[in-house]
Order: sequence, then structure tokens, then C-alpha cells
Amino acid sequence: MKMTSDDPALTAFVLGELSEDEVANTNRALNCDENLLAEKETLTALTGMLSDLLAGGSYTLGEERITEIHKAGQLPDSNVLVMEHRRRSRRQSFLAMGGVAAVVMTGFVALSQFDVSQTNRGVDGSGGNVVEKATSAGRSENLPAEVEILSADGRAIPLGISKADPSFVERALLANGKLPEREDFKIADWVNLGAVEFEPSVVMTGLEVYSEGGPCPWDSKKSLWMVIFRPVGGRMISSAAKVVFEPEFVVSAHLLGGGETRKTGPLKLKEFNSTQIFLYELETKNDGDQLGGVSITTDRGDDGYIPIYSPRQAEKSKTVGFRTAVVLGGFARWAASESRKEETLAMLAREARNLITREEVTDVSCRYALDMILQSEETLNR
Amino acid sequence: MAEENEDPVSTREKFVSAALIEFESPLIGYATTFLHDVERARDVVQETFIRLYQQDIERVKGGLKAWLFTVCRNRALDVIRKERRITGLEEEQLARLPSERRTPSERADLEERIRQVYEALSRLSENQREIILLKFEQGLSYEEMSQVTGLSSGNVGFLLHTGLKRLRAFLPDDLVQNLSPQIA
Repeated sequence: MKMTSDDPALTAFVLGELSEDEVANTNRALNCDENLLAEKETLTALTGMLSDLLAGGSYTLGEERITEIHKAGQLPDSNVLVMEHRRRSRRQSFLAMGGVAAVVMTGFVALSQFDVSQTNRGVDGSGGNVVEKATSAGRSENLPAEVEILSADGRAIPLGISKADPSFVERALLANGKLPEREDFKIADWVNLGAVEFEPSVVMTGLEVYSEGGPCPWDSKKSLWMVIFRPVGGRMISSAAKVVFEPEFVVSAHLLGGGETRKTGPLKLKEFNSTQIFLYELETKNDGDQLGGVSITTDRGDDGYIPIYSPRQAEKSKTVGFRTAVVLGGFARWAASESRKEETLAMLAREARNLITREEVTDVSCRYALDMILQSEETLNR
Repeated sequence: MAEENEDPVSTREKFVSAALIEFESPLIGYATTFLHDVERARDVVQETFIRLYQQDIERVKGGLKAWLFTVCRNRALDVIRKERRITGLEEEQLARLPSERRTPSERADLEERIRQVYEALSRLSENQREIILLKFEQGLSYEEMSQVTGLSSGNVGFLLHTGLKRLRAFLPDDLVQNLSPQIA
């Protein structure tokens, strides 16, 4: 493709950021286009001038502050706290594993009693199946079609999903003041961006798992339940997980942005080395303490189990992690919808603003994604 | 090895001290671009280095530069958001001028050109301005800027390219004329 002066590769060339092949291609383009060559010369002069004028200032913290850094840094160190925290988690893990056998048994009985009906038959973009209900827009690319679980059943949790790159939103807003097409928003990938600190409910060898339930902001009749899998130290792990819902209490459940269609056969281990976050939309009936549970297994020979408590039983104040996953998933869900109602975006932006200004969301990608919600609101209301 | 027997507290102190020598000034400069107040920027940088003390050295030392700029950026943004201040370039930033030995007229000329560049920068979008300052004030690579800002490397390149083009349009004619290619 012919290089033009609008190509960011030209700046990257001037700044020495291109690979050898790209440099060779750019040199060829420059040799046969005088205008491009002139543009490159101007960029070289501009970047040189900026380097000269902007670099080279000198600041210091001063002796007093530096002494304070060393003093504060050597206070009882955080490893002690981490170790205590790990011991506590390990104890919880043992307690939880004690109940695994009983619950797996319950799950097995439940599996034999309930069936699942697919209400949405849409498949991937290359397939020709007709979507019978709802829309496949916003479905994560590597996930099968959304599935509604009409009653309790054991379902594999589709570990190994990707994370969204929200910069495509910024690009579209900058370029034409509009959001990208609704098909571009993969809801599950946005939910999966919400990496924040949490204290694991279960600690296994190489894997920590956490779950939490809460209200569903877009449907007061439903609730949301989140589960997070975090490989320890970002190291690759092979794991499989199955979620089982109690039919006595759960009318329907579906994974936000996609679902696992396979209900029979042994679970397949999936490899991943980054945090995996999933949100389930639940419709419940009757009052029950425990709505179901998740059985987890890894290639390290560890098994774990997490009960799913009724959101009514769960603590009222939701953690930053839960709120972040809900607002990011909610934004992608809104952007993938046909109506894109203004008031919904305003509500999401309010929550995003609260999370950025008042809460400890330190993860860079997460903060950037929350910023994109604010930027969307600002640009669309301009 | 001698290092293996060294007291971990001493190892950590040496590591942080070395980081302070290398990054103290660039980080204060970077935080000032957000806060427009050198003292408040120093507070943020002090906090950043205290956090560094609490990290696993082995985990951060490979990407120390990006780690420091990322934490510094997050803390600076937190301060801004908590105080709900509006960003804009102010006197403190312009006061950071080179102190090399120059004649008074040379210094005045240089100061004027720096003022013009910052004024043009203030007309760019926040993210374009940040990327340009990260590149030319702090000398970060595309990859490092990507880590610090959370933007993809492609988007960093896009913002830098479009930002530079816009900046050129906002610069005064006399500065721009000096940039035109010399035709032999």
C-alpha cells in the first residue's frame, strides 16, 4: 500500500521505532515520493526541536523527602501481611475443599435432573444459523452463542477468553466523534478487563478464585454473579471449571456476552495466564442461601469449590472489582445494543466516574477503559 | 556471590537509591505536567518511591521505568480527580528552563520558544499532549508509553503522529519556518 503523509509509520520511522523490514519499506516509499520526503524532513526537524526544548530540565526531591522515602519504605514490610493473608486463604481453601465431595455429588444429581434449552441459536459470524432470540452482537469472538439455562445444570465456564482493547473506542471518537459499530463490542471481553485486587475465596496451587453477587443495574428483576480466576504470579495454568445452579432457586442464568453450549462429557482443561472474569445474569425464585456452586480442577491435581450465595445473603456493599466488572460489561452491553439509550450511558458514566475518583482502581487498562466510558459520554453529548 | 549474602533491607535500599538517582527528576517533571505544581508533583513522586520499596524487586526491575511512570501517573491523576482540578499548563511548568550558561539574550530567546511550544501543546487534546511530553520530555519508547498509558502501541503511534501534525499547525510562523526542509 502506498505510504502517505498521514501514515503514523512516518513518525515512527523518524523516531527509530520501526523494524528493519519496515525501515526498508519506508525508505523505498521516500525515494519515490518527494512530498513524502519533504514531510519526513519537517517531522525530523520538529521532533529534533521538541527534544531540544522539552528535555533536559532538572528537579530534585530534596534530602528531607529522600530520607522520608527510605524511612517509610523500611517500615514493617508488606511481605509479612501477604504471608498472613496467604495462610488465611489457605485455611479457607481447606475448609472449602472439605465440602467439595458433598457438593459435587449434589451437582451430579442436579445434572441428571435438569435440561437446558438454547433460546438463542446464533453462532459465529461465519455460520449461517438463524438467531432465534436476542442478538449475538457483543458476543466475545471466541465464545459460542448465548445460552439461557432455564434450570439448574452443570455448565463449563469458558476459561481462556481474551480481553478487550478499548483503544478502538478512542480512535473512533477522535476520528469522527462516533462510537464504533455495535458488532465491534465483545461484552465478555469487556467484563474480563476489570482486573482489580481481591482477597481470594479459594487458593489452589497456582490459581486463586473469587466470587461475588450483587444487583443487576439494567434489570431489577435479576441479579448478577461474578467469578474471577487468577493464575498466581501470572504463570500459565491449565484449569477447568463447572458451574451448577440449584433449580429450586434459579429460574434462568446466562453468561453475559456468551455462554458454554456443551453440557455433557468431561470438562476440558484450558490454558491461560491472565485473570479471567465472568458475569452471570441470574433470575431467581424463592429465598435460598445457596444458589449453586462452581467446581474447579487444575492440571496440578488440585480441586476447589466455591458456593454461589444469594445476592440477598451477600454483603450489601459491593467491592470495587464487582462494580468495575459490572460497569465495563454494562457499557459494552449498552454499546452493542440497538437503542444505545442516553440515560443508560449517563448512569454508566456516573458509576465510572465514581470508580475513578473515589476508589482504588489502580490497574492501568481498567482505568483506561473507565476513561473511555467518560470520553464516550463527553463526545456524544458535545 | 556476595550479593546473595547481603542484607535484603540493604539491597532494597540500594535499588531504590539507584532508581531515585535515575528517575527522580524525570518523574517530577512528568507529574508536574498533570499537577502544574512542583511541590505537589514532589509529593506524588515521593509516594511513588515509597511504593517501590514495597515491591518485589525481581518483578519490577525488568520494567522499572514503565512501572515508575505508571504508578506516578495514576497517583497524579488521583490527586487531580480528588481535587477536581482542571488541567492546563501553568507557570510552574514554564519555569522549568534550562540553566546552561547562555547570554541573557540567548536565554530570553530560548525561554520564548519554550513558552510558544507549551502554549501550542496546551491546545492539543489531553492524550495527544501527554504522549508528546512522554516522548520528548521523558524520552520513553512507544512500548514504554504503551505500558504507562494503557494504550496499545499502535494507538500511541497514531496519537503521536496526529498530535505532531496538529502541534505544527499551532506553532507560530517563525518557529515553523525554521522547520521547513532546506532545499539545496
